[in-house]
Amino acid sequence: MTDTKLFDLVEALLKGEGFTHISKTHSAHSATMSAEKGANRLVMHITDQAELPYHSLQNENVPSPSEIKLSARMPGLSPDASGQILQRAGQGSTTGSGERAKHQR
Amino acid sequence: MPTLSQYWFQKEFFGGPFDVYNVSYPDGGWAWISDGSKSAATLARVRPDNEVVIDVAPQLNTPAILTTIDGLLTGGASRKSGIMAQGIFWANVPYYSKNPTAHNRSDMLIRVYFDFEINTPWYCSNANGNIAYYLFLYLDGSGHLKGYVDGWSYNYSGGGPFCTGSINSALNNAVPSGMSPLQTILDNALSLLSGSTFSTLYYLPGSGTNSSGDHSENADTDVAIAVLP
Repeated sequence: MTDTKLFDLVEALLKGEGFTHISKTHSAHSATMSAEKGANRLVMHITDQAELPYHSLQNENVPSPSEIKLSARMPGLSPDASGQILQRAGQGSTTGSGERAKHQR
Repeated sequence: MPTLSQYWFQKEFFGGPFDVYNVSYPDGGWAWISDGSKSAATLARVRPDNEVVIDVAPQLNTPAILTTIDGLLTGGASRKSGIMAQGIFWANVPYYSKNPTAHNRSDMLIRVYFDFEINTPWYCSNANGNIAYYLFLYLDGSGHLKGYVDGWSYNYSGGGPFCTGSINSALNNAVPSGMSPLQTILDNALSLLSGSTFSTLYYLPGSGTNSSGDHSENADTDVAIAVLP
């Protein structure tokens, strides 16, 4: 039995019992139906997997890498020193002590 | 005369609140730098007079662009912030692990993002999060500045216990559809520099200001594109 058939059966049942404001929503992996009868509220939810609250995707329609001569890179880092990136980007360096004298010539 | 810009990041390199101190800096000059305050990282650069700087966030927060973005949000979603921009290392982009060799590991992209809220039915909590697009800028073989929308992401909290599916469905439709208008916006912005060629491209945290003295900014909310002829 698909969730559509199940929802249709439950919706007919709820209407017969006097429930109103019946609403249904669907997503890729779930379906939800809610209804009200006076102060009573009902919700029915079916899902086949958890749906995480984040997603990301790379654009497939991008220029060829051969078109790119120069890109913006981590400042102060040579292009082949990629192994340092996460360490340097995430942790930074130690700081000195004493009064801050930002620049003297 | 060139400008020496010293950046002092409070929390992390190229991220979060920072102070920048700009001072005129002649060729061959010395810079003696020490920092008594707590900073997680520092960055310094001598910036020549012919540096061209584009402060990204103000370019995006025009009424026309905000209206375009608001028009993409449907299904009870609404924008809850202005558009922000930050420099982000390729390895920190959410979809990096799906295709790590798409860029060099030391490459930086620009994360353009805004906060949103989605109202949900009575049986779920409202969802709050952000929607982001990642811009990749480069110089082509002729030295022209170009760029494209490299990808997108969203994340949020809330929507439980039953609404993350419907929220995801709405976002999975709306967010990718924002890439095309954003590409148009990017193309229009870069067209202003189409008559010039450049040899160097880099990003500066915050507005990229080179005005003398101290400035406090936030690298999580603004980034500047800098190019040199």
